[in-house]
Amino acid sequence: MQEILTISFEENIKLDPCLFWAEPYGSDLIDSLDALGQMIPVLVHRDGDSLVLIAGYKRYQSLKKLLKKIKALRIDAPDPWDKGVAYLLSNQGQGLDPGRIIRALRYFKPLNKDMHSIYQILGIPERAREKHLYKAWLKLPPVWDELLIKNPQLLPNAHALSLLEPQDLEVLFPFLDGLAWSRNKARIFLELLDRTSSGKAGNIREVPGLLNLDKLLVKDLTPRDKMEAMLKVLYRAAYPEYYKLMDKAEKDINRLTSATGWSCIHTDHFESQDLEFRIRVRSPGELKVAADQLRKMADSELLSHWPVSP
Amino acid sequence: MAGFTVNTPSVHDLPAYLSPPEHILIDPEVLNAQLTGRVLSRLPGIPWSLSTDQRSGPRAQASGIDSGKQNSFILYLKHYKGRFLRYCPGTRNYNCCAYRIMHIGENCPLNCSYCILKAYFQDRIIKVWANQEDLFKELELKLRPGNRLFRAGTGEFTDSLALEPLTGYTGDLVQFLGNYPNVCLELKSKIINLSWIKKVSDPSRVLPAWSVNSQEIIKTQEQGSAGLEERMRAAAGCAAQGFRVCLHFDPIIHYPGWEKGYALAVETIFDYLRPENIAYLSLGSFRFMPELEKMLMRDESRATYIYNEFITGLDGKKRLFLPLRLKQFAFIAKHLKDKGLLDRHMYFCMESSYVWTKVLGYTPEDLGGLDRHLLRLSFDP
Repeated sequence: MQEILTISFEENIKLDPCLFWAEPYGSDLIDSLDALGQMIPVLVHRDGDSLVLIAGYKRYQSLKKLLKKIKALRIDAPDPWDKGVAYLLSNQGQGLDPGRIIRALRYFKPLNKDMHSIYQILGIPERAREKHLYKAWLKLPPVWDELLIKNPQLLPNAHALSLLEPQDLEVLFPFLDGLAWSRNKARIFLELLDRTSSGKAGNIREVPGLLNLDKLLVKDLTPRDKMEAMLKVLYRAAYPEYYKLMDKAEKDINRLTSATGWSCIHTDHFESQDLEFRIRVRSPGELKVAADQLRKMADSELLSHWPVSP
Repeated sequence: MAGFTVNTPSVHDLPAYLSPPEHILIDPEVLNAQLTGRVLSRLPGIPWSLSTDQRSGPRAQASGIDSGKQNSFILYLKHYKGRFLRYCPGTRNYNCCAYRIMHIGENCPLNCSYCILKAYFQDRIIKVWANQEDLFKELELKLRPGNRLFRAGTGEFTDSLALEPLTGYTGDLVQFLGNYPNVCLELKSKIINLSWIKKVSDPSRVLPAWSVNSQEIIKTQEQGSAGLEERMRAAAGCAAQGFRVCLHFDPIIHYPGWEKGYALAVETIFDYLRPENIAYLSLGSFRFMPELEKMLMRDESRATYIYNEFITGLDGKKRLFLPLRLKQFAFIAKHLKDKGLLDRHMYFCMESSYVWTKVLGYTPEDLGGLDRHLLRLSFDP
């Protein structure tokens, strides 16, 4: 049975847990309600003596603020699943981002019904990769949803995160919480942690302590510098032989090009012995100087052991 | 799709590494092919159907059949329309052995953790090109007896012999090639099947080949394959019948204790073979497409070697950081030489001339080109 009610702004209506997207209301809605009045009723059901709000949270709060009566459609007490669906449908058309989607999914998941229709309402196709990512994210503790709300770029890493043990997740949380990782950097960060733990530490949870990443996290650096510094440390831990040789090569190359205008790089991970020399010159005079410098470098004893010989 | 037909009775006499396929898909064009008849007669009780759904392809059709059971696979007898004789897909940045591939099928029933075919094919459909008459027609055209010599093999996209108990493919091929003395056929495998030997007319034109590795790697990473001793015992059997064999240390894996493992592998080889029994031996470090790395990290807990220092090579594939590779190559090459194998009978699979020089002291160019060098070794004992 349904009926339209008119409720005083003074009446205290309970909020149902199905209002998973309930957010502070904005002035736009207040202005509109003030000018045009309430066009669409909010949705309530009766729980004993109280009314419980199922949908229309922003309208309800705005009308209260305007000290206006609230039109409500009362429906018979639905089960949590139907309440959630009603709320979802009444909010269709609102922008969806990973944070909002995960809040909706988190509400429905414990109700143990086929989630297929919910994914459909949320606009996620059956075979979409996105669906698998949300399913993986739901395996994480609910506290992780806050991270996704703050940084939707973490979603593509849901599968990697879902494979971690709770203790690993606990240690990892602050590293993903305070820093705005890009999708790719987050992937690299997790991969390097995995790689390092597999080789040296045994567990991901031990890596931050072993490599002093926790100290970097609280260091007085910009978030961007913190992320860069952490990745650098992790790369070095994951590829020790590579960096040993790279350090040596860079040292030799720096000696070779010191006091010249030339820069020199090696880009082939030692798969070739190639070096690239580069210089910018502004005049024929500078070109002559550069040519002399290049000749001297070619004669240098440093090249008798080519800087990138493994 | 045609309805399923069950091929009775249900008795299979297959080797341990080869479980019967869950289903056989057959292209209508090859339903009456000799090879199809042979497969069906050897797989009684296995349901089969015609793959008439050309639009969606066998993968979609197979997905409706696939039970998802571990080690199960679908055998697809295909009417292959592409080229059967191909060049090895080497890259210009590294020295390729340039052997010619005789393409007889794709994918493999063995379950090696590192297998590149996983990344290539990403399904459990093992394809066999059942239109052998088209293969033979193409070979007839391209291999006409003449001055030109061919070194060819079937082990690029599948194990040369793993499906032999079902298909008898290699037996047919060596019989056909008996008329082409200008072709030397290499049969690369990780299992033991010598059923094709009786069809060989000239043992000097067939090179049975085995992939070799340390006992630890074979045991933990090459599920279903024969042990090293079994492989070498079979190789010795071939040598006794007048064949020379090829060995491929590939992929060489860097794992804790690899020195001991590979030293023992070399010992084992020469417990069974003499250096002159070996036509050539290759050394290839583990290399892979980047997609495989993600698959191994995600799905293969046994593949701990994947966490080693792999860098992106000049061909875009991942490979072990050069100093680590060099150390392994030098170690194994020294042990092989100590056993009497001439270094000119060794080669590197997809390595730079720098690696050749560092380990062997010369480059493929010094040998007149790797392809020519191996061709000579194939034909001239």
